[in-house]
Amino acid sequence: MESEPRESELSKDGAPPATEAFELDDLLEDLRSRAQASDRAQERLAALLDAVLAVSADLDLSDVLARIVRCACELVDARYGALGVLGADGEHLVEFVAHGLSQEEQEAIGDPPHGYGVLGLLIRQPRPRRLRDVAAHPDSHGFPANHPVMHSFLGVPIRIRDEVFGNLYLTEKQGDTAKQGDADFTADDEAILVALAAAAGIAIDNARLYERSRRLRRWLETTAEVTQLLLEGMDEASAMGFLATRTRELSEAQLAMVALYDEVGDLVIRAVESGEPSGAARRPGAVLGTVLHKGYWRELIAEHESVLLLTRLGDSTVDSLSADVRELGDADPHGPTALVPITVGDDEVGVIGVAWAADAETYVGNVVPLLAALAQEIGLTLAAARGQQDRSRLALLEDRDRIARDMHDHVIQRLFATGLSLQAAARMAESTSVRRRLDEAVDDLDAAIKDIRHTIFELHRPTPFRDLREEIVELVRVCAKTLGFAPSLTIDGSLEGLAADFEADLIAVVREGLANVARHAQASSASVRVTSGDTIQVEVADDGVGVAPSAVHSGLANLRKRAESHGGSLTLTARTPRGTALVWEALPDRE
Amino acid sequence: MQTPTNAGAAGAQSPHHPRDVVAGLVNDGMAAFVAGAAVREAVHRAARVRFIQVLPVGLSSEERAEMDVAMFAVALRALHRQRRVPCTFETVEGEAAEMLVERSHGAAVLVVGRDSPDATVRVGQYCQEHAACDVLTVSGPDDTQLVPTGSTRSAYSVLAGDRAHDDPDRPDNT
Repeated sequence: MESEPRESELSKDGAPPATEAFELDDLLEDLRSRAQASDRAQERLAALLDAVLAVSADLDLSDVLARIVRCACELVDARYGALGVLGADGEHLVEFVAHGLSQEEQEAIGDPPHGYGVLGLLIRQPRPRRLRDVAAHPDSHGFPANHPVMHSFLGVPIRIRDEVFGNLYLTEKQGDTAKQGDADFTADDEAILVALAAAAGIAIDNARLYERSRRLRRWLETTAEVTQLLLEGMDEASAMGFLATRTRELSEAQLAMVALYDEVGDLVIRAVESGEPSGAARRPGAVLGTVLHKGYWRELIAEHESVLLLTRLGDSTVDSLSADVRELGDADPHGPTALVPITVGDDEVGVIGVAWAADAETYVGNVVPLLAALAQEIGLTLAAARGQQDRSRLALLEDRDRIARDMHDHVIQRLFATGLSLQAAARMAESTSVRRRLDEAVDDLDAAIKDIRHTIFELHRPTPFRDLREEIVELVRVCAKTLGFAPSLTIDGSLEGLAADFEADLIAVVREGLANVARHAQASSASVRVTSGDTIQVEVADDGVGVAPSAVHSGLANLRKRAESHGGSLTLTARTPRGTALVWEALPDRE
Repeated sequence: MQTPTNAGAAGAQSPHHPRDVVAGLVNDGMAAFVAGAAVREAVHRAARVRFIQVLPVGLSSEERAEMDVAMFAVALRALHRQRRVPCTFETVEGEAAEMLVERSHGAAVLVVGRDSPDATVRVGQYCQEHAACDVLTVSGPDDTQLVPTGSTRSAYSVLAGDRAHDDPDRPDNT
C-alpha cells in the first residue's frame, strides 16, 4: 500500500497575501507583479514549445535522450539533469544519460546508478517528486565518492503508452537567489517538466520505432541478398559465409556461425565469421567442415525452438552448448549466445549460432526474434535453391534419356536397316572388289552401332552424380582449410558437356589460383567466379598483398599454356585498393 | 547522480541483473512441470533461468548423454515461444537435494518437484528447509506452492495477492 508522501510538499502558488486595505501603491505593485508573472508564464510556455520542438527534431535515440535532459535542465533552471532508462524487469536502470557533469567528473564517480535510493523511489512509485533536500530523504543512502553535493530535486517519470520508459531527474535549482544551489523547484517547474516528459515519451517512441524499422529493413535486405546469391548459382558454402558475415554485422555480435545437415545427415559447420583471432582462438576457417556430434544440436533443430543462452563470469558451471559456439572463433568466454534452428515446415535444415560480448546482455533480447525470422527465410531460400538444382539435374537426366531413346529407336534401327540392305546388295554384287567394299561398309556400320550402344549404356548408367560444378564446390571447400577462411564461389552458366581434358584444366586453374592465394597473398578474403558462355572464364581474386616480382611463376606458366591450348589467355592484374585478380579464359571443348 | 555499490552480489549476480530462477530437474517425473514453472517465473522477473539437472553418480557416459539430451528437450519445450528468456543448461552429479541447495545459492527462487507422500528421498522438503532462496514446489501444471524467504516476488505469490517485500539486503544509495 502506498503511504502519503514523506517529503516536504512545497507551496503551489506565489500569490501575494490578502490585505484588508489596499493602498494605491500596493495595488499598482500587485498589478505589476501579476503582469510580470504573466510575462514569465508566457516565456516559459514559449520555452516549453521550443523544448518540445527540440526533442522531436531528431530520430536518433541517443541524441533524443541527450536533448531531453538538456532541454529539461534549461526549462527549470537545473544545474544537473539525468534520464534513467528502465530495463526489461522494470526495476533497474540500464542506461543513464547525464547532463551538467563533465566526462572527467562522471568517470571519477564510476559506475552509473542502477536505480536504488531516491532514484528507486520514482521507479517503485512512478509519479512526480519534489524534494528540498535529496540527502535528507529517508530513502537516501548518501552520495558516492567524488559525487557533487546536491540539494533540491525534481523527478518525473516518462511514459510511453502507459508503460514507464524511465525517469527524468533534475537537481540544484538555479534560482534568483544570490546563493547558488539554495533555490527550490516550484509547482510550475513540476508542471512544465510533466508536460516535457509527455512530449519526450512521444519523441522516444518515434525514435525507437524509426530505429526498429531501419533495423528490420537491413535484416530484410540481407535475406534478399542471400536469396539472390543462392538462386543465381553461388554455392551453398559461399552463400552461408556471406550470411554469417551479415548476421554478425547486423546482430552487432562477436561471432556468427552456420551449420547445415549434409547429404548423409551430419550437421556440418559451413561458415564461421568472427573477428581476428587473438591468443589461442582458432581461425574461423579451421573449423569449417567440423561435424557437430552432440545430441543437443539435433534436439534443438528437431524442436524448432530458438534458445538464448546466457553465461556470466562467476557462473558455477560452464554451459557446454554455449562454449561449443563461442570457442569456434574469437568471442568472449561468457555472454549471450543465440541458437536458432533453420527449418522449412517439418524439414530440418541446420542452425545459426550467434555469440555476443559479455556486456551486450540488455541488447540481445530484441535481436533473437529477428534472427528467428531470418533463419526461417534462409530455410525457404535453401529449399528453393536446392529445388532449382534438383530440377536442373532432372532436366539433364531427362535429356540424356531422350537422346538415348532416340538413338536406340531411330538411329540404330536405320543403321541396322542400312547394314542389312548393304549385305543383301553384297550378295548380288558380281565384282569381288565391290562385294569386299560393301562388306567393309557393313562392318563399319556394325562398329558404329556398337559405339552407339556403348554411348546409350553410358547415358543410362546410374553413376553417382558428381559433375564439374560439384567438383569445383568441393575443391573450394577443401581449400578453405588451407586459406583460413572460406572463399566465395559463384558459377554462372552451364558446365555440362565439356570435354574431359577441358574439365581437368578448369579444375587445375581453380586449384592453382587458390593455392597461389594461400602461398603468397596473405589475404583475408578471396572469391572464385566461373562464367560459362561462348568462352569459359575463371576469375580468382583476393584482397592480399599482390604478387611479388620475384615470385616463381612456373604454376602460372602452366595455366597460361593450358589456356592457350584452348585458344584462350591468362591475365594477372592488381586490384584496387589491394589484391590480385587472376583471369583464365578459354574456348570450351565440348563432347 | 548516484552510484550503487556491488556489495552483497552473489556469484554471477550483479546488482542490476535480476537474480536467477533455478529449475531443479531430477528424475521424479515432474521435470516438465518444474521447467514450465521456472520459465514462467523467469518471464515474470525478467530473469535468467538456470536448468540444473542432477544425475545420480555412476552413470555411463552414454546414459549421461541420453539424459542430458532428454533434459534439454524438456527445457526447450518449456521455453516454447519464449525466445527472449535467457537460460543456461547445467548437468551435475550427486545427491539431488544437496546439489540443488548448493547450486541455487544467490538465486531468487528454486523450483523443484513436490515430494510425493510416499517418497523415500524428499528433495522438495530438504530444499524448503535448507535453500537460501525462495522455493517453489510443483506437482502439476497449475499446482504450485511457494515457500518464500521473503526476499523476492514470485509470479505465483503475486497471483495469490501475496505482495512481496523489497530485498532488505539490497545495496542502495542515493
